[in-house]
Amino acid sequence: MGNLFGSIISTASALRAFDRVLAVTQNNVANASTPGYVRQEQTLESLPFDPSIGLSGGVRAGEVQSARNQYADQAVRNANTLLGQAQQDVNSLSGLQSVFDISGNSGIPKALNDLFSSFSAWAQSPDDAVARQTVLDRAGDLAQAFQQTNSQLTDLAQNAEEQIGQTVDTVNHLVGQLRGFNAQVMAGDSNDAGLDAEIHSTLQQLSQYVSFTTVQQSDGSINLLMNGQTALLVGDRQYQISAAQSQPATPPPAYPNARPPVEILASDGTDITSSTTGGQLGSLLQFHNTMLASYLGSANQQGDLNVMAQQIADRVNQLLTAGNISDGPPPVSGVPLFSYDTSNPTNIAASLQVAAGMTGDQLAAIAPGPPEVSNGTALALSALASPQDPSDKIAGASYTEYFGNLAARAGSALSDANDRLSVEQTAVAQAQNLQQQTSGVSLDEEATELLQFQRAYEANAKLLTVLDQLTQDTINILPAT
Amino acid sequence: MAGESGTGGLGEARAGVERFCLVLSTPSPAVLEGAAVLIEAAIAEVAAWRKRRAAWLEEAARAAQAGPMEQDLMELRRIRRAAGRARKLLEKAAAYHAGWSAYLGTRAAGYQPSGEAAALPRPRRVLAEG
Repeated sequence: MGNLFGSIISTASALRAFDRVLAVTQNNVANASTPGYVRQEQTLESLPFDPSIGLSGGVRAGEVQSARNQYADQAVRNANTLLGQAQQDVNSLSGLQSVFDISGNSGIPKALNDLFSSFSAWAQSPDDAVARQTVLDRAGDLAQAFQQTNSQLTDLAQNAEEQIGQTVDTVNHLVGQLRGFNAQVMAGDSNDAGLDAEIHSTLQQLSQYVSFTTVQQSDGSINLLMNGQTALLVGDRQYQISAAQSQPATPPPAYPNARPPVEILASDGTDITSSTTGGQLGSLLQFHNTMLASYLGSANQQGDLNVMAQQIADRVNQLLTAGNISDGPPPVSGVPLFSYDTSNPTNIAASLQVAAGMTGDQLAAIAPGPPEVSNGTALALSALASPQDPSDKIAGASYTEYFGNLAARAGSALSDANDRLSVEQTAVAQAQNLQQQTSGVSLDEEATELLQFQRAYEANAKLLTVLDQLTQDTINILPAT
Repeated sequence: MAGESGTGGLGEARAGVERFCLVLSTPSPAVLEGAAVLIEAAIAEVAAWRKRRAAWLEEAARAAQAGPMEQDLMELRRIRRAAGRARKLLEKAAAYHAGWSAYLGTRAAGYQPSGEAAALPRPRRVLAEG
């Protein structure tokens, strides 16, 4: 009778255990497409069996174990961070590249070419009123092209500032959600697979904006460290980040009126901008504080667009003021063609214009010499198109080449970003596939697999090196076009 | 013109490297070992193109009208870019596995006195003879 009773108990226990296994399996199936959900496993524990003392054996359900692999999860999030960064780079740089049209049909290159042509026409007919007026008109067009390019770049900077603010808000919002999840976990819901899925889905979202690491606590809650060092979440306490704009105090700014950089501040006010390099936020900061600053200027640089505007204006003015409008007597000296805001070197492109009240007959065509040349100044101005004199160049490049270099910088950065985007898109898929591969494997199998992988990796890396070298050699032997 | 100069072969080489990049999205040892042939084929294509091109240019008349090389250069640069992508993906996969190995090492055997992860235990086999 005792044995029969024991058997019934044992069977009932097994039924309960298998019922839970079935429930877990159903839950797995139901959540197959839930973002962040990973397969749960119901462990089974054998019960002691000793009929002599009434232990009837059997099986009981143990803890539900998640197949989640923290290492693989972090690898997927890291890949996602790099993807978010590459995507944002491509978006930002596409906008920047559109500002620099190098076709010569619009913008600064066209205005420059037109101005040089007008100098050339004026040199051929130095007294022609129409040629003189054309020079003034083309000079006005060039000034406007600089203003317009500056304005487009400033718009990009403002957009980047807005996007940085929005990204910071999104990061704080997502961390706020995770804080709520932590509170639930700490209250005892650590085995809730649905909650686990929500946590990891939120972490996945967060990873496209910033780089962070997670540290799981013994109570099941997670701590979040941005860039591996700045606490965003510890237990149920959130530490918000913020964005601000101000000129750095040290070293003292050489250009205090330049557009200030954007800073990211930790909750205690610590500046964490330099360590914020990953994800969309890192990309936006780099674009605003480095790339756009190189054109528009910043605390320690004038900005290449301002350098170019100033060099052109100064050189043209220098040639004209060294010439004469008439040879008199007494001779009348030339006057500057361009003017700009001299109080702020980072505002030159924005303020460049034809000098107020300038008329065509004030253009100085005569080079006083000796010997005096009646169209000497006009000829010197037209020679700016193909300069020989170092003073007619910027850093060794003609004005047109210098602009080409500015455009090439944007184009090259965009090309690199597109290449990175292509790599990172595959890398996210790769990390997700590796995450699947590395879940639930035995140590022995894994050790063997790793050795095989290392061999396969080395073989392929060698082949790639050979291909790379062969391709480079071939490029080198091809005649230049 | 492009066919004569062998650009078609370069296109196939590039396609091979790009297929290799796709394969790298699931970089298991078996897949990787199988995929090495794609790179080998690409190397062979570039080498063959190089020979064809050299022979083609040897004829003085053709060399004079060899004309624009932009298409060939562009294709070669694309191959280099694709190879660069493949290298980065291969490095990422290798870094993942190295990290995974260290992770398993710490889980299985903790840390070495130097602070590095313990080596992952290797599977052992017993051979009985006689």
